[in-house]
Amino acid sequence: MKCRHLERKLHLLLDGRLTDRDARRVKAHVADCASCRASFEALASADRALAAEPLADPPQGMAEAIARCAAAQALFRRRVLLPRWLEVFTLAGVTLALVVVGVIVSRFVALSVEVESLVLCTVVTVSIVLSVGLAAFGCFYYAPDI
Amino acid sequence: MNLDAGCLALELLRATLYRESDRDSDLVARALQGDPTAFDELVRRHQKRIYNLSYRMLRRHDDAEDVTQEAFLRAFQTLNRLRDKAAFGGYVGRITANLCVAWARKKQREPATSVSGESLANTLADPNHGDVAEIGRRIHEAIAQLPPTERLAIVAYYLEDRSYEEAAQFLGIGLRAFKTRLYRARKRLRKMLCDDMATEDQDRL
Repeated sequence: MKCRHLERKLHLLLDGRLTDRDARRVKAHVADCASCRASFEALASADRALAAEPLADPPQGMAEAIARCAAAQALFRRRVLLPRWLEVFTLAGVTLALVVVGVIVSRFVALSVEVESLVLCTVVTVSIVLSVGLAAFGCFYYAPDI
Repeated sequence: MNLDAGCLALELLRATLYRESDRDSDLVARALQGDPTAFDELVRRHQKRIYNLSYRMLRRHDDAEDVTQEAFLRAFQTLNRLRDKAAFGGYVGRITANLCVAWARKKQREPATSVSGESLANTLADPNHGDVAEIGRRIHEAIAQLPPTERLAIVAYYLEDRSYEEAAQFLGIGLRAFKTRLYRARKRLRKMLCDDMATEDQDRL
């Protein structure tokens, strides 16, 4: 058995994942080879130390603090009334409807040029405000990516 | 008779396991409906494991507390994305693992401190163990020098009672990827410890 092929098997031996036959062969080699013995001892001492480490207790009051933060976040959490795609279509529909109403009003109602411009400006402004408002609402209330 | 006892034990185990995952699933569903006590209970059920993962990665109690809090709050914010509600433990574990790696990478750019190994050193400071406290200190110093993803593999492996499968699941990576990381981590660790011992031997001579 050659030492350079043995490293992975040393790890498997440590984890008890070698067959009995392989385990016997690796142990025999480790007994004869000083370099592999040193490697195995280093691995085994690390393994023993790490396995012996007890679980630390979380700080007192940590769970309560987390629950309080979560409850505070929940107050600002957006309630999902409609799926996201439906909201986008609803917004587009409302905007379009406003534009159509504006155009109809300006076509069929005899208005002066000033009033017609005012109606169109109002429709465009309302559409922009609605779009920006909904986008900001979405950005603020949607949870961030992990 | 023995067979009956075995079947009964198996049924009990199955019922216990079912209740555990079912409990998480129920708590997640209630938390999504806005029940604040449900998330509180989820935190209590999983805080020890999450806190220990963070602590063993970062070796500072205040950092571990910050990461644990951040992980649970992120899990809360994104709870509606969790498809398998019974898998809350793994979900928050993966968030913690990602946070720890990012945190450790940030810390790596800062000058190293010698706070590592305090818990292990205390545990091993037992008269029967001889010089094992010193060994524990050295091992933790070596682990602190590993790349964060490899350190995470070692930490998760020992936290999950030496199970490859559970540690891989905890970190949200494939079994093969986990084994590779663990192998590389131990190889690097072994090299550092052997070099350390060789240096010490030379000093003695």
